[in-house]
Amino acid sequence: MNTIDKLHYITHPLPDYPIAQQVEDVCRGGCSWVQLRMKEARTEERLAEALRILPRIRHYGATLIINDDVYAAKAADADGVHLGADDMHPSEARHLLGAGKIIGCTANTLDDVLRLSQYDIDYIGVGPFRFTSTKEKLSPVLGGEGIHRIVAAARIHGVRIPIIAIGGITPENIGGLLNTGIHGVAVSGAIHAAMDKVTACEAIIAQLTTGHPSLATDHRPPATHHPSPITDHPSPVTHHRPPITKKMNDILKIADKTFSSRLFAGTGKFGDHQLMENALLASETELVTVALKRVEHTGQEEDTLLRHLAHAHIQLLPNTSGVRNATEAVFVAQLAREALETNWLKLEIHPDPKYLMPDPIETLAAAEQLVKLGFVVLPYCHADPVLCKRLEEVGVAAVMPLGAPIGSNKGLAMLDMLRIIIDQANVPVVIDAGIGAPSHAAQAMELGADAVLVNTAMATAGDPVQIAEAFKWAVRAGRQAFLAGLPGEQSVASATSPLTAFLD
Amino acid sequence: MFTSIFNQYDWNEELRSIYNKTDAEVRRALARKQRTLDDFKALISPAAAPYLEHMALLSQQATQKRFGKTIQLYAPLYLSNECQNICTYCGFSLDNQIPRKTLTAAELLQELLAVKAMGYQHILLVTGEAQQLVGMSYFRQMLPLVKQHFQHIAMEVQPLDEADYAELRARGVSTILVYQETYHREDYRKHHPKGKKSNFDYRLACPDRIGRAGIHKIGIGALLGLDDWRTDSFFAALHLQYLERTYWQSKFSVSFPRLRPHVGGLQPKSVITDRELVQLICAWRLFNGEVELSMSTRESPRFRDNIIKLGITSISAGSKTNPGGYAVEPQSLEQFEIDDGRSPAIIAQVIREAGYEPVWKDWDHALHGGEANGKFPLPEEIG
Repeated sequence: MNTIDKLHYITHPLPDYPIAQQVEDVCRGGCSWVQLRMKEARTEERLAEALRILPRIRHYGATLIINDDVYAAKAADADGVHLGADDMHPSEARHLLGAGKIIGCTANTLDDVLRLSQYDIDYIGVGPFRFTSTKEKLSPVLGGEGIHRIVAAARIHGVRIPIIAIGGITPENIGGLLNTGIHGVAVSGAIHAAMDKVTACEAIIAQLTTGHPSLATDHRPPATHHPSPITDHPSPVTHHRPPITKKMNDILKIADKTFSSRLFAGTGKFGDHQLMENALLASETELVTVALKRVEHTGQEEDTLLRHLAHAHIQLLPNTSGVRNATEAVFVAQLAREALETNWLKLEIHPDPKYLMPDPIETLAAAEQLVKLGFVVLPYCHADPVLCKRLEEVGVAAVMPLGAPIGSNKGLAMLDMLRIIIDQANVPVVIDAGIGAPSHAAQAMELGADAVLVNTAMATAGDPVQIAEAFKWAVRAGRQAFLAGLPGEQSVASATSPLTAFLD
Repeated sequence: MFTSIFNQYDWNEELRSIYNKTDAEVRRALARKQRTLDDFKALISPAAAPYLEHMALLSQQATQKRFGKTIQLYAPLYLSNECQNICTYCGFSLDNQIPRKTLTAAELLQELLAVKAMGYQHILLVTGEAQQLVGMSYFRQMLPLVKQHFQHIAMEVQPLDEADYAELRARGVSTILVYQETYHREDYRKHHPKGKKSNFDYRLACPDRIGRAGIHKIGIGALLGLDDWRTDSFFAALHLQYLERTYWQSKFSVSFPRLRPHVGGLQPKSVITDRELVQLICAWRLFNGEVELSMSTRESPRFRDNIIKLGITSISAGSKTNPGGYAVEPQSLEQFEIDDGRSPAIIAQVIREAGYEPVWKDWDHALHGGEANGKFPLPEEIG
């Protein structure tokens, strides 16, 4: 049997809110169950969308259910299907998918529930709770009382399958459902129509876990779980997935943006845009730096480089590579802001073309001006603790000291200085340049760096896609080790005469 | 501002977390090269008690590595015992019926000369809080006099505004000490029911104002005994970590005042034993290798003789905690009882016998550069 989450998010096709972004937002909000619902689409389209979002679903340890389409679910190797009344028969679906997959079915009446409970299915969606705008085919509205009646009667008939309430559920009306004996809720508009999706998600989860409305800003996990009288039976449900709350709490925040990946990447030196895209996707990076000098801005045709970077979870970080002083940097930054429609900027000024050493004086001057111009500035700089503090004082959003000369793949040659920088910093520290192997990235994260930026090592490796994935794991391993608290080196010390004997 | 960080923490949660620290967490904290706040909690926890000797040794090594075998000496000089605050634990509290005194310039000179004659070049000026009588205009009057005779001036006075601190700096003050007393907001209110000091947040933000004013050294600490000393020490460590990262050009010192019996008599809520005080001092050193750790004459001779080898870097000696106590009016009432009444000469001898060098001068007015005579127009020096 599979664990059924308490909050299911059902995707909804919206012109200016792509499904991939919906997935990204709800997963960040702590929801780990997504049902891909594309009513009017063909199997190929569903499959393509499923394959597009699956890496992110897996990244968050979430579950992907395909609405209505067993074939797409099977082809994409999703976690299961959700079947409506007119869709495939649950037995046939089980036959096709095998025992390990999740099957959920919709019921509108007690009879539906009793009939469905005879089959090998994992949950039943009961509704609609209220009128819903996202579903075209409508059955009579049940309300909290109707749902309560169905759940209670089902339990009396010995139905143990978790029941998920569905249809028109919002943070405001969810209260009427909390004591009906349901296992959880499925929502769509409550989240995708909210101004702040992540917060809306968190608010619903808080209500579901605590059993009462909670402040959306309260991010702490609830201390106790209140089982309702009906669901408190010995559950046949087993837990096969580790809880993801730990990972959810470890979100990196820079300025106004959050990142669940602490691996930043570059776009140079790959030699092939498709290879670059594959590697970036394998790395699961969410911040990718692009040199403005490489962006085509003819206005005619969409830039090919940018097209390969157009993914909902990837944010672009334009950089000023090529400039030699503060004046040029400020000019290029403004061009970049226009071309890439972001005020984020990786400031890099290296007047020397041989070693590409960042100029500390010009960088500080440019950083100060750019902050005043409203940029979110991430300066690439020397591993110089005082410089990093000075940059912090002029308002940069993070500092990006180098680990070793850029492109050298030498690792953390500046280890002692980086240690001091991390110790002193009040802004995130991103180790940039010189990271030549996943072990270097892990070491930087163990040290307490907030993130690393890797380019050359990824682009010029034998297999960039493989190495990108290796970097992903290395960054996670290093981060987890840092959070866990590394053991120190044991040294046996003893004094000739006890120092604390005077206390006896 | 520290307040925004402080407000994210819950006193009881931190208290529980300290008392739940395990043997394994202590061992790990001891084994690490660079220690975190969480390690600090482990080291001040009851679970660390069995490791005291080990901590003492590590603390001694860390202190010698940074400071060498030296101990700085300073003397407190009380300018006034006037105070508009009620503090339940203090001898100078407004509601204590004691004779009040503020040194005149002539009296101050007598005191300064008496302290100087003991060998001191570093001095700590202390007052209560009486803004009218002993405020900036009084300091403006008195500081030139102090500057003539002492190379390092520290002040432990009422919290001031940023501009005042900047002015004090320009007038030759190198160090400002301001102790939070307790980081427990509610208990703080209980112990400071009246006067300007009853404003917890103004005091909590004080080190920020000092830092922004560019004062060279900032001293913080909690009064051990007002509330749970472990939790208070954790918050002081949190405070220090924030200040170090923010005012990265400043130096810092931490003190460990224990509640002593005094007229008006509040008895400590949580008593910190000698053994625990050693644990606390060592924990501070293991948490932070660079911070100055300071010890007053509240402690016994036996305790002080031993603690100088375990992490402390500066101590006072021959102190008087009453205005005029050195020369003008030696018999007047003290702020708190002195336990170690030995003279600075004897203490210096004790330090030398321990293999350490007593340091009387480690600063010079020249280090203030031009600013002491530049930015602020100073009124004529008083005669």
